[in-house]
Amino acid sequence: MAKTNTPQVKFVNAETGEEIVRDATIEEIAQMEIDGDNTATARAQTESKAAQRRAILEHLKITEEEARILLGGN
Amino acid sequence: MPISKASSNAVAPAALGDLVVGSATNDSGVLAVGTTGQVLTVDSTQALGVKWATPATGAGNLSQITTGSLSGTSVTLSSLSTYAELLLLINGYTWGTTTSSLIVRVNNNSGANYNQFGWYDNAGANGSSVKGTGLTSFSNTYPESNQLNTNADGVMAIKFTNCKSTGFTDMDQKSIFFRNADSKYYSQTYKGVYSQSEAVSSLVITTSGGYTFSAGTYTLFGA
Repeated sequence: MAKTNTPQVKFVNAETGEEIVRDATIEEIAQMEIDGDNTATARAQTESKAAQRRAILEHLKITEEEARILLGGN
Repeated sequence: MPISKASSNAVAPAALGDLVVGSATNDSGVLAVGTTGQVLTVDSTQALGVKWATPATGAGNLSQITTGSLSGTSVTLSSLSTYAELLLLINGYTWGTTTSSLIVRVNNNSGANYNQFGWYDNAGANGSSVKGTGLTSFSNTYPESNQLNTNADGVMAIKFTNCKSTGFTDMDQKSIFFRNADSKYYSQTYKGVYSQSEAVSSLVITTSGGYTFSAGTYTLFGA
């Protein structure tokens, strides 16, 4: 399910068992957006490194498995 | 045969649960009953050589604190300050069709205070060791930072130790398993630290980007 228009957050007091569900605050929604941006950035970096790796392998004309053997990895 | 002063030189129990204990050759004494939950413990400093004592809690003595369903965009488990160890199990989680990550934070702290190192195996294709410092949460997909788990069969288990310390809280082990949108199996395991000098009072389970959980449960154990 995608983002809701009014995000809900749940709080559980582990001591008393009391549960509270309420709308997310402006600050909480802002943090969600920051987290989403951080994830997108991290994913872009990972994909960029993967592209670089593929380019190097193509340049060397070896497979990923052959590169792993060459470097002594498993 | 019941022990009584009339039938031996032993003292007689005075209350429910009292024990008659040898105190020396041909002599005995009464060990008054302890309190609920105490166990009999050998202690040579005691006059009768034994005492009632409350068993120490610690590793292996985790008990369930709370359990429930994941819902909304986050679940915060609070009032955890009395626990030295915590084990959080998250099962069958999904937020549907959007690529994101499951993340867990200590004390709702979103600063760059999470460090981890470990090993991951992405569908058997590119297993590797990895480390990350200055992360803003303990995430389920580091370093890929994305997951599209519509299969709702993901499992994430995080054990925290040293939770009451004013020093760092150790993320003793984080184990993750899930199927991505390609239905291939991914597994990861890490150790790490929450690098703030504060006790753990709450754990926040959420997704990166604020997506609504459509399935999943959490169970928290502590000692």
